[in-house]
Amino acid sequence: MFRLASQTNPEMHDRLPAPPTGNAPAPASAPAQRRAAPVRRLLVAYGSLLLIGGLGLGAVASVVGAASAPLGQVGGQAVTEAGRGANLYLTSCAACHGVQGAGTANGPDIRNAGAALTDFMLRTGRMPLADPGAPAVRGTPAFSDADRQALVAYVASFGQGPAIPNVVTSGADLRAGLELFTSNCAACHGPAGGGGAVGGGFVAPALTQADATTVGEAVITGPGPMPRFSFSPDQIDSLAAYVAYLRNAPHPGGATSPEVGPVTEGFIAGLTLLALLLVARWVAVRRETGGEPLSAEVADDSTASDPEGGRG
Amino acid sequence: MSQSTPETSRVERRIALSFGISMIAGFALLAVYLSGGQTQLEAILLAVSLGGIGVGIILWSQRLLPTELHVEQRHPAAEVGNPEAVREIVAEEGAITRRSLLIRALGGAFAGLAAALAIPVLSLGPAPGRSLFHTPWRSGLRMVGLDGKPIKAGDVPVGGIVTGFPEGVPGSADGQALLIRVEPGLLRLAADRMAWAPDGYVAYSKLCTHAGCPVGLYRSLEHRLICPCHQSTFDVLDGAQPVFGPAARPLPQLPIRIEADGTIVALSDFTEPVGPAFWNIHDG
Amino acid sequence: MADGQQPAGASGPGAPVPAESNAPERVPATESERPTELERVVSWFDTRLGLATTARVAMRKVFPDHWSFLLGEVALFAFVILVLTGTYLTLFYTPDGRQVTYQGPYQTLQGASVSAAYASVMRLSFEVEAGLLMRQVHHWTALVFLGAIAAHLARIFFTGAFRRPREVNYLVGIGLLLLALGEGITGYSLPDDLLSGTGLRIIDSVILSVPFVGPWVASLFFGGTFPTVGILSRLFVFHVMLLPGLLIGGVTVHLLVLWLQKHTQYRGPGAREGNVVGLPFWPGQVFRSAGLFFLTAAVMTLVAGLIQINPVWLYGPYVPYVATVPAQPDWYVGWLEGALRLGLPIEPTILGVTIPSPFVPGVLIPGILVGILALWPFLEARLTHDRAEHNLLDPPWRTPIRTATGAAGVAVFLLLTLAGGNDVLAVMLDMPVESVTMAFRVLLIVAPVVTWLVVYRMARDVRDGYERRARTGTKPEPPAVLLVRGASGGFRDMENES
Repeated sequence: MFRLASQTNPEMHDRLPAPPTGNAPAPASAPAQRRAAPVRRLLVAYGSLLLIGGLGLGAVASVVGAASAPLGQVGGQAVTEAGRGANLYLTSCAACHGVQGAGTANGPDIRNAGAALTDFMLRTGRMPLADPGAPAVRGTPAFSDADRQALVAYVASFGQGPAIPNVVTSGADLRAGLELFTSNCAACHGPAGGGGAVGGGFVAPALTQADATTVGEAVITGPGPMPRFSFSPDQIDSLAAYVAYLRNAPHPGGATSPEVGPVTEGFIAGLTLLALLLVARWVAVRRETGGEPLSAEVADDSTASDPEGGRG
Repeated sequence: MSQSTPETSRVERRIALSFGISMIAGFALLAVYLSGGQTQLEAILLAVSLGGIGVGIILWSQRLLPTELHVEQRHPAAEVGNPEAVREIVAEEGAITRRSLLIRALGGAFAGLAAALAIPVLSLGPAPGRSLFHTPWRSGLRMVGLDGKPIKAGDVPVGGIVTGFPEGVPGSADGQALLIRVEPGLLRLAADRMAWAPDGYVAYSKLCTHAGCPVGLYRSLEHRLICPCHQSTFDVLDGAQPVFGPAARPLPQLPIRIEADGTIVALSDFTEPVGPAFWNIHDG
Repeated sequence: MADGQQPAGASGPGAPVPAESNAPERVPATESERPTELERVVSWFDTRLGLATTARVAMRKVFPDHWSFLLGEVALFAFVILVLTGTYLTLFYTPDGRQVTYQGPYQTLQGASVSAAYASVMRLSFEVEAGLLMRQVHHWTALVFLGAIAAHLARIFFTGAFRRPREVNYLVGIGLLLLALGEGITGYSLPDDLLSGTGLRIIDSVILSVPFVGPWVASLFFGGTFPTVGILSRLFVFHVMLLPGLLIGGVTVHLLVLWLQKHTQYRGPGAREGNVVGLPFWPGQVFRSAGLFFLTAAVMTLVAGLIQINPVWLYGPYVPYVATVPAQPDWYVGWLEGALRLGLPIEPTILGVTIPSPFVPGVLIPGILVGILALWPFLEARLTHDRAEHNLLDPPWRTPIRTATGAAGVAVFLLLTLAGGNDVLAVMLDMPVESVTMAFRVLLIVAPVVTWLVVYRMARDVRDGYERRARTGTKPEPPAVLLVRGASGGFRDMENES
């Protein structure tokens, strides 16, 4: 597989924007800072579930590290299924999202998030965040499957929200999936699911790790800046099947990457040209075969009147 | 050049080897091709076949051909220009250019011929006329999806977005519109446009006013539409006014109402030309 | 091939010179040396065409012995590969925008409504044996073709090879560059996949933006209002007939003028204004060129077969209501795309005439840049009052103004090209795409000025250093110089060891 080294980091593909926090590196130009502030106001005002993140990759690393360590102990305290979900919620979520998901200054109201969005956030490791300022990016899930299910059930009990869709990709219509994907998803996630910048500091993530359920949850809940779609269960099945197909699509033309496109191709063309210049240099290597030095001959030739001349 | 020394015969063997590898690769390619083919294998074998010839030829030129430098004299600069010849040509031509009446008449004839030749050029396409000023949308036309079926208000969740077309022309390039649903209280449209966006449903032309790409990206958190081609960004709440990028005009809004059965119906065509600007766009 | 047309007995490699020939017997055999087979064949032609006398002179023509003179040849050979692979593709491609149902072996698209053109490209990719290889060689070589032309142009520009008497051939070369760009753009549009259709949409908008004539020209070119079914067949005629015809004609003129005027050369042992030092055309240069052709073809085949390019089956067929991110043209159009992306949201209406936003960055500025490039030989002659003939090349440090101006131009080109990928850069740099755009807008103003000043000073200092040493006798003459073009587009000079 050909990849640009800097594009292999999944963390880079879906972080949220934020004003530069204390230790995070600021964006390179002043306009970015000016633009980031209204972004934050909008986020808070509209009660986004996703939290505002710093721009530094260092913060990302700390999320992954911090999120997994303390939470492993929680699983041991299982009482009843509901009680376990409540315990997990209090330990890992309530600090920001408040008791019963009502939200706090640090985190939005999630009473109507529903099972689908909660499961999406936990399944993809976007939640919990190490601190409210950290970016919500795909990471290692912090909970075991059983813990996640308990937690999702508990959060879903807060209010009205969509349930986790049951996505079945086997036997789904791939062509319908291609058409749905091209018409609705490729605009942001790219034609091959490689992801892309969608402005405002947002990056539509690459879909290289998205499993069928995750795709279904994202489509019906529209996490973060993503819009929501009212697709039928059949359509969601087809779409998820096509996303899975993209991951394992045959590449008859040779090496490629999910971020295929003319930018990568132009870069490789430049390297090819460089190789051809080296070839040209080798072609033009001339071995001295001895004989009298040229300058002496030129002295003789310089007075020659024969314009066609040249020495045989 | 043709004498054979131990050195040259060693070089000859290497060149022959290079050509030989090329030959083997060529036959192997034929075998691969005949047995069904495989793109990467074909490429490698073809490259070896071509490269073997190239390497052989270059080694030949570097090691077996004479490589001493030659010197060729140029024509002196003074010999390139020939004023006498120029004078002669101009003198001949003078007999022609002095007939100024004839020259002018001939010019007129050529102008007429050029005008006549414009006719086939003009058949290449219809006069643009008013085609850029309107779309298939009419008052009372329902908005349909790509499948031609009417879009229902319930198909679009809050924070959702759907591409719609005028009834009868699904896939229409200039009639394509985005139906977006936001929380009803958020829209900040001009007073006379509030009626065009019932219950938080608002429809805009999907054609970017910069270079005509479909404005397909929607950041639902901030209610921003973004064009993937040049990143022109439009504020959905504020009448799709451009807020970033090279687009200078808002996306034209499609006035709509919602029928009792939930179908979306246009009140009229877009009230201004959709898509990229042209010099007389404001003569509408 | 002439054999079949000749009367029996008068043909064949070993045939004696026929009696009906009026040409005098000129078989160069002597008593001591019997003519070889090759000699007989050559003389058979020579006694009819009488070309040997001319050819003997031509074969002694001297070609400068430096690899940078091969850049144009790389471009020429890329063009040959493009013609060969393109001819093959033409045999299978259908320039038809009408919709058909895809029935081929690519299962994901089976039953989809696609244009006949797209279906034929799918057939080339999945059904025609070696078709995908040909497609990929064609596309990769097109990218390298434009790159080789750019590198060749940079060598010509930064060494002053365009000066009198070569202004005419320089203009021919600029014309060839524009034709090659046209070939690239039309070829990019032919598969009728999502990316290529989006590119056409933008081209339509840029044409529309021209005041007064825009809507008319766009309608005549596309045969109506975009998108039109007929545009593919028109682009096809441009891509496989008009533009290649002009290119072949232009290349012929380019080479003829080169032949007549003889090469420039770097300063070096024996090199003077009045001579050319190097290898003779035959056998030295012919072997080099032949070897270079095969090696260019080998490199292109290898890259093209191993790295996938433009997977139209993933992009899907063009539909006018879909665009994807990232959406880029091929690299050589990236500078125009970048100019459009950096464009300002200004659309004034002056005396009833609206100047659309794409007009300034998409038409006016590129027109001015290409104009300056094309007219540079005349601008420079006017600036320096140097109208003398020059056959010896300048190392870039000898001409600080030219070098600085060229470097500023390269900076503008690189910045615009990078700006054409601002969304990809935003992901790589972990910055909002808006910040990247703003940074490029600023850089586009600042960088050329800074580049000009820095390069000017550097070149001047190097020149002054050489001149001082020459005066003090440390080094009697400036050394000849090799140019090495760095990845950043800058140049550094190296002493020529030969």
